[in-house]
Amino acid sequence: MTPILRVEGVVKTYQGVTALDGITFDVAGGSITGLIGPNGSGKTTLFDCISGFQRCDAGRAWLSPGGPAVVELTSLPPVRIARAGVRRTFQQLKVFPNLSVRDNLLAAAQSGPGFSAFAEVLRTTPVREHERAMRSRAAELLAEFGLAPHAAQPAAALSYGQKKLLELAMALMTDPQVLLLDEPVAGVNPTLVEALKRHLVRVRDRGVTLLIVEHNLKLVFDLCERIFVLDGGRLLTSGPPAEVAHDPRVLAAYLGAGAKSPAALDG
Amino acid sequence: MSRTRAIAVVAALALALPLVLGSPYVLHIAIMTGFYVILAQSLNLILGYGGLLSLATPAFFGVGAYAAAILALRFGWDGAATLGLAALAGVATGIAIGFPSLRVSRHSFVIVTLSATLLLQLVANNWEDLTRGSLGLANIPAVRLFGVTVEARGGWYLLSLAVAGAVVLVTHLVVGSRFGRALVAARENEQLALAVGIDVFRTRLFAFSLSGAFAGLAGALYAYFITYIDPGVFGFSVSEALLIMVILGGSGTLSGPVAGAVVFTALPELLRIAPEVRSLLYGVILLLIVLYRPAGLATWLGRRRSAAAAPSA
Repeated sequence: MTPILRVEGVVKTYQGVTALDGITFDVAGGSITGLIGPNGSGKTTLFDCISGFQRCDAGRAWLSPGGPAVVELTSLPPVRIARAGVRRTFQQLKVFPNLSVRDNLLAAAQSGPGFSAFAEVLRTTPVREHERAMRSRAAELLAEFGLAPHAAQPAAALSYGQKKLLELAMALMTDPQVLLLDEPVAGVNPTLVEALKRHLVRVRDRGVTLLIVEHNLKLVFDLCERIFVLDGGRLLTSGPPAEVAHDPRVLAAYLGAGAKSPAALDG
Repeated sequence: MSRTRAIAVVAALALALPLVLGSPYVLHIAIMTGFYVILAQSLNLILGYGGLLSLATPAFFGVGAYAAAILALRFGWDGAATLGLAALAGVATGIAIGFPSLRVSRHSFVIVTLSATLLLQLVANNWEDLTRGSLGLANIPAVRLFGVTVEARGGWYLLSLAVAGAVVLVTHLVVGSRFGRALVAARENEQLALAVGIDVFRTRLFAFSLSGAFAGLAGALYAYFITYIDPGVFGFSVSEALLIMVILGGSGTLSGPVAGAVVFTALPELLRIAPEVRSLLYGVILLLIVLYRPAGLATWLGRRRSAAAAPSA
């Protein structure tokens, strides 16, 4: 396997409390990888460190490690990380509420070519061409995610499930290499969970690597090729879903010591 | 009526009415309204589209006014170049204030912009060799634009209207561009904006510089028109008037601050018919607008506010 994302020895502490304690792992390119663990195990903090929203105290993370285009993510601010091809979503759903659904997608395409302010304002030919390309990309994603009828509505008017779809579509506007999804199906009805699953597989099939934090373990075990389990800021174990589901340490972390049934993990 | 036709009719009326009325008093108010339109759009860029409560507009305005006055009085410059340099001085002030203030939280931003403005007022008051302190700079000569000396009120009115129109047009182009979308996105959700690759700091700094250019230009025009300035141009009352114009006009819309500037420049003058209760009436009218048109006067103009224009929570 060729890793697309490498996390090495990442440590993060908050006022003496260790949130991440030397996390190390590789994520295979073109895979769907799960990152699970009980509440407070450090999953979102790890996402924050990889995406630049928090500075880690020690350790590093790289995009395309070992390749010619390696990028050290932990030395960059969030905007540069997004532009390098690592996109993320947030545990608490975020869209631009007063922008139209279409404009949400267009706003998510800002990491395209950097035109000068004058070129942007005067709408020179390259700027217009780029805008046309992005509008056409937005139209494709609106159709793919069933949001085309709502394109002109403010995002605030969408249902929660539709906002989840919009959030995912926004992350795909500029064809990222790695997508960090923080609880992509939280609070979503079972029908939409299945739809989101199909979308995620399609996204992976396009070559985007997905790293998913999710408490719906059924989804994680169904979708992911490999799972990393965090507990108390440490990497407890990792492996294919079948192996992880039967690991007594995982059962103990989720359900307490003495738990035996892997079926209990099926959210 | 189509939107273009409506704009054309309003523009034609704006152009013709004060000239037809011909009264120097009405023309004076109309000229000042043009300056306020420029200043209101300057604040609107930051407050309406950027979602940041800036109290730095008087700083840009004052620096522009002093730059033009000093260039005219000390160096004998009276041409279009002084207007350009005053706008550039506004840009420089925008960058100087924006650089530290745009890195702090939204609440601290208000304080930093206010402090910077007060600091500049102190400089204007105390650097007497350059500014003559509280005595101010008087007898600022008439401005000459492309060989024409602008002295008569009719000429001033056309100049004020032309510059205000140009500023509204530039604002329209800016907020309709990818840059404008980024500015509004950062207002809506800063974290998400960063996560999708929007350089929030640079976007806001550019908006701040442009806001500085607009207000700096307005300051220069004001100095040439009134022919006298003092450190009062940096006063908080400028911010106060502009906040009323932008918020009650309709912040984050193109037409709202224009409507706000027109209404809230004219209203205090109209209320002169009842001098004893003028301030009271003005307050009551403000309250009524806040209660019945909280989104601003722009909602009366027959157009729904665009989604991009809604203010942030």
